[in-house]
Parts: sequence; C-alpha cells; structure tokens
Amino acid sequence: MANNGTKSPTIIINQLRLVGIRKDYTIFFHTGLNIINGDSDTGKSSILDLIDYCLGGHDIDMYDELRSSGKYCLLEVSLNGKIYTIKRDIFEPNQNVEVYSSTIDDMVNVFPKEYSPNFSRRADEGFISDFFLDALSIPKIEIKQAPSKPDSKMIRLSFRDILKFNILSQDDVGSKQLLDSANFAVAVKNQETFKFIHNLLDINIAELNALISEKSTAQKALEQNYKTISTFFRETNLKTKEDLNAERARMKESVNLLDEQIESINQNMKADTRGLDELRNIKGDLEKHIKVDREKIENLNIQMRQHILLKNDYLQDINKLDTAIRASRNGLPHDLETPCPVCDNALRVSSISEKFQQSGTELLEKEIKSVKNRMSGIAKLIDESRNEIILSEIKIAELNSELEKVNVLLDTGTSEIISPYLSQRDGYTIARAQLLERIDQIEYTLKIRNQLNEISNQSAKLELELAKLHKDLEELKSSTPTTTKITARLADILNDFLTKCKMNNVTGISVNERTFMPIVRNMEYHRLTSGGVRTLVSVGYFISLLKNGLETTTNHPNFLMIDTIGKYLGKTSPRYLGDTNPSEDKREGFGASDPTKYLNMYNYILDLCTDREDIQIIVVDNDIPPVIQEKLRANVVKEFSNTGLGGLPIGFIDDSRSFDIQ
Amino acid sequence: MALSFIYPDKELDIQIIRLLIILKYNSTNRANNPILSLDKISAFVFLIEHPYILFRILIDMEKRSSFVADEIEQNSISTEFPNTNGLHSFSETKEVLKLMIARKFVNVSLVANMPYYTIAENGVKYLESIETSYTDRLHVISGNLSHLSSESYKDLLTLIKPYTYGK
Repeated sequence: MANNGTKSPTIIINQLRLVGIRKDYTIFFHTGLNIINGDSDTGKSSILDLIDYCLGGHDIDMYDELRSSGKYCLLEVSLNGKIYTIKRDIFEPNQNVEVYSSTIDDMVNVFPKEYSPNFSRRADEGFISDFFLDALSIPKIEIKQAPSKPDSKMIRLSFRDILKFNILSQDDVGSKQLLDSANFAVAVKNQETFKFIHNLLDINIAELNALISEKSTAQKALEQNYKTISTFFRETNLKTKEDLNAERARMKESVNLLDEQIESINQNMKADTRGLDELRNIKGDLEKHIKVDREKIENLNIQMRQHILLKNDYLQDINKLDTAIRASRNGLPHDLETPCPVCDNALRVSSISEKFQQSGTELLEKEIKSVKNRMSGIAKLIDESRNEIILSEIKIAELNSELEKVNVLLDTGTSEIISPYLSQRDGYTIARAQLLERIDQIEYTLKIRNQLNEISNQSAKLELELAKLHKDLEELKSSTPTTTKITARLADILNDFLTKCKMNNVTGISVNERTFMPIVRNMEYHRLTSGGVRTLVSVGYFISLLKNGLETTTNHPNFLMIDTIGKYLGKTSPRYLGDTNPSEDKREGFGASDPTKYLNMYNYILDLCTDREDIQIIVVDNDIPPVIQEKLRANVVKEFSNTGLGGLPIGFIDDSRSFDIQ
Repeated sequence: MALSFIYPDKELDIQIIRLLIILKYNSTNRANNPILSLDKISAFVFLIEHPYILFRILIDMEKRSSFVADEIEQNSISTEFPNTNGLHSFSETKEVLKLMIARKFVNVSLVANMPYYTIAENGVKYLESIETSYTDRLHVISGNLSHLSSESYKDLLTLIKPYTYGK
C-alpha cells in the first residue's frame, strides 16, 4: 500500500465479516471515503459497532437479527501497513481476542495469538490494547489521573482512549456532550490523551526514546530468533516452503485420482449385481406368500376359539336341561297356597308358576337332542379349522425352506460379485486416507514455515518503524510542539472546513487551550444552540484532528468513523429533536430543501482523501442529497433498503426472517 | 310348527334348584343368624351362574378354596360376555322366592323389618331328590360362596365389577 508520507499511525479496514449460522455476511472497504447508505433500522450502525468491537470495544449492541444469525466476527485490518485479522466472539465479550498475522482468506495458514480484551486479566500474549499500540508504534504510557496534582495517581493510557478521537457515534455527532465534556473525570483523561496524541506531554520525548530502545531490542531478539529457528530448520532438513507447496499440490492431485477410481468401482459394482434381480423377485414372492398364510392361520385360530366357546356353552346347556327334566318328573303339586309372611296376602303356586318358563319333559328332551346336534356340527367345524391350520403351517415351513435356499444363493452371488470390488475399494480408501493425513502434516509444517516468515516480516516492519521513530524524534526535538501551535493549527483547519462548507458567520474560530474543545463565533462548542452548527463543528473538529495527523507527527491514527453524518442537517430524527432548536437550524440554513452545506461537507472530505492511500473515513448516512448521489456512487460500499427496493439488500443480515416480518 | 327355543337358565325348576342350593349353604352365619336378603341372594345367583368370576374373586381375596373353575367354565360365551341384568334387578328372583314360600321350601324371618330367607325342611328334601352332574357342581360352587357370606351387597358388587367390564 502506498504511504503518502503520513507522520501518524495508519489504520485501514479492508474487510468485515460476520460469520453466521446460515451464511457469512461480508463488507469490503477501501482507502479514502467509504459510505454505508440506507434506510433506518437496516443495520448500518451495527457495521460500525462490529468494527469498533473488533478494535477492542467493550461489548456489542446485540439486536435480534444479530443474536439469531451471527456467531463471531472477523476484521481484516492494515495497521501501519501490516495486515492482521482480528477474530472475536460476539456473544462472549470476555473471551480472548484472536489475532492472525494474515488476511481472512489465509487465516488457516498461520497460528493465532490470543489477547485479553480488557485489563481485568492478562492472556498469554498480553492485552489487545497493547497489541494495537505496538502494531501502530504508539508508546505505552501512564498518565496522571489529576494532572494538576504532583503526586497524582498514574493510570494506563489505552488504545481505546486514543480511539475516542477517531469515532463519532450517532449520539456524538452534533452532541453538546461531545467527548464526554460533561463528565469531569473522563473529560480530564481525554484532555491528557489529547496532549499525548499531539506530543504535548513532558514525557513524550522520553517515551519516544524508550519506545525506540524497546523496538530496537525487540528487533534484535527477532533477528536472533530468526537465526536460531532457520538454523534449526536447516539442521532438521525441513523442506522449503516451495517444496512443501509442490508436494501438497501433488498429493491433492493423487487424492482426486483416487476419488475418481472409487466412484468408478461404485458404478461397476451396481452394474454387475443387476443379474441377481430375478432371485430378488423370487424372494419377494415367497415372503408375500408366507405373509398371506400367516394371516390365514391367525383368522382360523380366532374362528376356532369362537366355536370352542359355543361348544362349551352347549355342554353346560345340556347339563342344565337334563336337570330340568329330572325336576319336571318329580310332579310337584300346583294347588298349594300359603299366606305371605311379610304382607299376609295369599301366595298361590299356580298363579306364580304361570309367570315362568316351564317347558315340560317332552320339549326339554327334544331340546337336548337339538343342542347335541348343533354341538356335533360345531365340533366338526372345529376339526376342520384345526386341520386347515396344520396344513397352512406345513405350507409355511416349505415356503421358509425355499426362502432360505434363495437367500443362500443371493448371499453367495452378491459376495462373489462384490467382494473383489470391495477389497479394491478398501485399498483405495486406505490410500486416500493416508494421503489426506500427509496433506494435514504438510499444512502443519507450512504453518511452522510461515511462522519464520512472520518473524522476518515483523523484523522488517520494526526496521521501518524504527526509521520513522528516529525521524519523529528528530522532528520533535527540532520543533517541540506547543499547545498554542497545535490548537492554532487545528483552529485553522476547522476554519477552512467551516468556510468551505459555507456555514453562516464563520468567525471567532479557535480551540480552547485547556479543554481542547472547539470555539466558534467566540462561543464554547457546548453553548451553540443550533444542532446543525454543532454537527458541522463536531465533524469539522474530528476532520481537523485527522488532517493535522497527516501533516505533523502525532499518535492519532489516520482513521475516522462517523455514524449519521447528516444529523441535524436535513431530516432530523424525532429522537434527537429535543437537543436542537429547529427554528435556529432553519435560520442557519440547515434544511432538506437546501443541501448546500451537506454537499460541501462531502466535497471537503473527498478533497481530503484525493490521491491518498494512507487515510480511511467510514461514514454512515441515511439521507444523502440526490444532487451528490451520483458523485458519491464509487464511495458507497454498502447500500440497504428496508423494502428491498431496486433489488437492494434489506439489511446487513439480509436473510433474516424477522426482517421479512417487519 | 314354529321352532321353540328353550333358554335353560330361565326354566323355573332350574331357578328353584339354584336358589335352594344357595340357601342350603349360606342361609345363616356361625351365630345362626339369617344373612340372606333379596339383594345378596341376587348377587350370589350371579356368581353361581358365572363360576369363573367367583373363582377369580376368591383368588383376589386370597381365600383358600376347594374349588377350581374347569376348562368349560373358563372358556364359554357367558364367561366372556357376562349378563349382569340379574345383579341390579331383583323382581324375577323375588317371584321365584314367593313360589318357594308357597311350596314351603323356604322360611322368612324379619330382622329390622327386612326379610331374610332360610331353607326349610321341604326344600332340603326336594333338593335331595334331584341329583345330576349339574347339581353336583352347584353344591361345590355354593359351598365356596360361604367365603363371601359376611360381604354386603355393595361390597359384592365392588368385587364383581372388575370382571364385568365395569357394569
């Protein structure tokens, strides 16, 4: 990447990828201005949120689609010209952050280093904040918590403190509380950070010397490591990277050949076993017949049981009828009468007997004969059923024996045809597995080889950084920056920005030498009542910091993210209406009908980025004025529409059902 | 001539014999007090007509009985589909008892205004005059009903219910 000779650290985001459950969601960025444009609630801000999270942010705003679709995120970023990939779990902010010295596509070829996401505990490789500071050649220092007290407690200055001057969130743009100015403790730390960024601290030169010494030692150690490891590789006859790559390619070709052979065996095996189809048909027929006969036996058994039950009832009836005949032969008198012991009415045998069935000897004897006939008929039926069951069982036994023979023939036939194929295929499969194992080993060795390259790259990078640090040191010594110089320079750039944006009444522009906050129309930033004016000033102030870093030696990375750059400039979200004075905004010329200032702001940013490869500005917008849409076409890296208008994706997570419902 | 159909269980003589055999073995308890009321007699009639159910109940109650349901009693249509009408309607049994009173086969004693039935001398004599394989079997079964002599009509219904599909 061409470096235009910037005197400050560079952060260039190449790619953000959210690895999801159903698919991955990727967005590519380039140097210069990048715009993410789209309707509200389409996940624009979440892209900046994910970048911020990968740059060591505390946590992430987990909205429903992200929770249901995402797993972890990857950020491919160039830090002072060296590519890294940061991997972070979106659900576990306290889990270690993995850093790969490679692009996202080459992650598999290198071993990651793990860093702790915060200072609450230390991971093996240290803290992610220190990683970023080292990679950007920013000294790691401690600053006074209360600068006015000589014995103040010292606190660590983290990468996140510096990044506050690089990220303007949606809430920050045009906000009266820009850079936490309302929170005294945080504002004081921000002021100390500002001083450090602009080398205004007394310790800056000393720190720079210390950093040079630290980096020199690190470079020497790396060179020594390189020597030791390369000697070890040579002595152990470890193949070169080229040899390993060539061997891997050969192996992969062999695996492909084996795959083709195995597929061909499978096809031949299918074709050869077709001759056994006739036997399979016979087997199917036999099984069908056996099933039919089994069902028949079952039905016969049910029928036979019903007949047996009936026969037993007939037997009992015969006994009872026989008893009734005996009783009827007794000839008891019918003319008896007795008073009822309960009601004293007369009980007459003759009248009571009439109510009952009394068949008489003759009929009863006939009935016995009839029942006996029926019983012998039933007995015959039982015998028939029994015989049929026996015959069916014999038939099933014969069918089973035939089925067994067919099965033997099928087994023998199949094994005779298939066995040679199987043994051949097994041989190929084993060879294939061995090749894959060898490829794994080669890839692991390649990773080890790559580590040596990584050491060499790190050493080269350190050499470049040392050269730059020496230059920075010389510059610092020759023209020691002062608060007056820095604030004056920032005020000049801000003045230029506001003038070019054609803001009304651009007068009294300066930067407060104590708070380092902008002053416009001789008025402190937080006293400005028009939200539109504050938006221009806040964006202009952050751009001033960026532009200053391009021209002077600072610790301010040439990177800027602005969420909703058009806040208060056209359509103002109802959420923010309470923080501005709409009539004032109208008087100042901020309105949807007049996008001049909006347009000029973009023109200024485009000019700033022209022909520069060492700067990156990522902007989220939901209201680009139509007059400049065409001009900005090349800068729009992602565009969303919540209705899917014009075939645009409905959001960053473009396949979520909940989005569809909305 | 239309074919007549005789249902042996409905024959008057069979009903008298069955009641006499029940009364012979179960009329009184050990203290010689009468225990057979009309409802209880009806429940006993049901059990004597369905000996397999009696057999199962005695097993459930873990009573040591001398009676085992034979193959015919176990496998018959009346065992598979027991007729429970007589369990809940006593009118027919009541009429037979009246006839038996008229013939002086049974005595009636009132206890708390409730009639209780016991076998009379005539009944015993009549019973002795009829001896068939069916009556022999009824004597055995009825002898085993004494295991249930202290159960009330309600308790008897509860014991019978599991074998009559809840009827």
